[in-house]
Amino acid sequence: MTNLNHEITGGCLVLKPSRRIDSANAKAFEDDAYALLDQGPVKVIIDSTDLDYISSAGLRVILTTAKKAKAAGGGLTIACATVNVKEVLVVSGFDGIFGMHDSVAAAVAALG
Amino acid sequence: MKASTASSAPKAKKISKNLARVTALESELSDLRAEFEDLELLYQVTTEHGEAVENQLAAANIELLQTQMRLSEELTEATNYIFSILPAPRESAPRTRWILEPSTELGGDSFGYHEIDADHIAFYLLDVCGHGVGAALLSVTAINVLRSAALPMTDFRDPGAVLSALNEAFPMEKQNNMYFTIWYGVHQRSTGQLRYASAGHPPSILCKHDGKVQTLSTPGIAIGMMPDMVYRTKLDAITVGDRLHLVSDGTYEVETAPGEMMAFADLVEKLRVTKEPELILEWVRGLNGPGALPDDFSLLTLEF
Repeated sequence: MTNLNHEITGGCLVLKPSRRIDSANAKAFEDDAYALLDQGPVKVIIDSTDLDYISSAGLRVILTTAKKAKAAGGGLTIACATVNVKEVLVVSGFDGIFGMHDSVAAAVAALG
Repeated sequence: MKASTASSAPKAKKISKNLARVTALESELSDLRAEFEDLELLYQVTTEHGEAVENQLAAANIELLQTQMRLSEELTEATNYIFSILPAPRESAPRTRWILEPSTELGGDSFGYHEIDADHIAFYLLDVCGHGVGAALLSVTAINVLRSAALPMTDFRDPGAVLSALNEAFPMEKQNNMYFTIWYGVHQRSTGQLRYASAGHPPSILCKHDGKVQTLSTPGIAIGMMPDMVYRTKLDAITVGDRLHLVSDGTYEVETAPGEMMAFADLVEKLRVTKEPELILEWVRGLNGPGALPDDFSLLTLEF
């Protein structure tokens, strides 16, 4: 069982973490994301609508999830980042590597 | 006779009854004595065992304390080494001031600056993901590589080339899954040109002599995260009186209220009006509230 909000939309696994991904819950996010990746679609969208903050520990698990998705033949992108989260994603260069989209639909289209 | 016989028979019966009772009591007493002796023996054994356990515990405790002391001495040694490779503040232009305060005994932040040649000076600050001995080891390794210009075929006056070469040299898969963010700049005295590149690192903050403030960064992810990344160099101009601040995310990522994080823009504004790094640290500490800062605090200021 996973506590991570998720759904499958347009053949993509949409992960919707709430509030924060930081050192306190990053491991749980990674475990849940890995378990979901093992079951289903390997194209992953991080829907950041409900996310207020992401720490460097959070960035690490997004990276590892992206690497796992890519190794399985899929990919990862980010949708609906709020202002604070967007700032962290830009500083870390994640916007350029994974892409940022205004909607889950746009992210689904980007992952093809 | 008959009467005497009649009276002695119950007497004998009574004596025999008393004897039986005495025998029973004696047997009971002997049982109790045996039980008492057993209990006494058990008590003695238990006490001795308790003492032995106590002695064992005390010995283990001493051993634990000794190990703890040894580890703490080793950590202090490691911390001393890290601080020993940090450069002394410069008094000639660019004058430097810095603060590095690890959140635990050993952090992942470090920095440096050195003259590449008579016309160029390099300055850099890096932040290895995580804390502790592992992060600190990678941090000093990377700093030593930069300080000794130990990357093949790399022009250390070209920040983009330096970061691209670092990315080749330090893939996370070969560094115990660690990676680091970095900001690297080079100032050319003769032209006043600043060349810089960053990798997943917060922008450096350039406070111009005329009061204007710029933030300097280039796109790119942390060193070691992914292979074959190309980092580009950006240019700017430095004039006399400018101050350049290199920071790490721990310098400003503190929780000012439950769920409220300090913004990078707050730090930029504070740096615009504050000259001494110590005052910035005090201010961030005040915002963070009691207790250690959640991440390493680093601030390197260059005054041109």
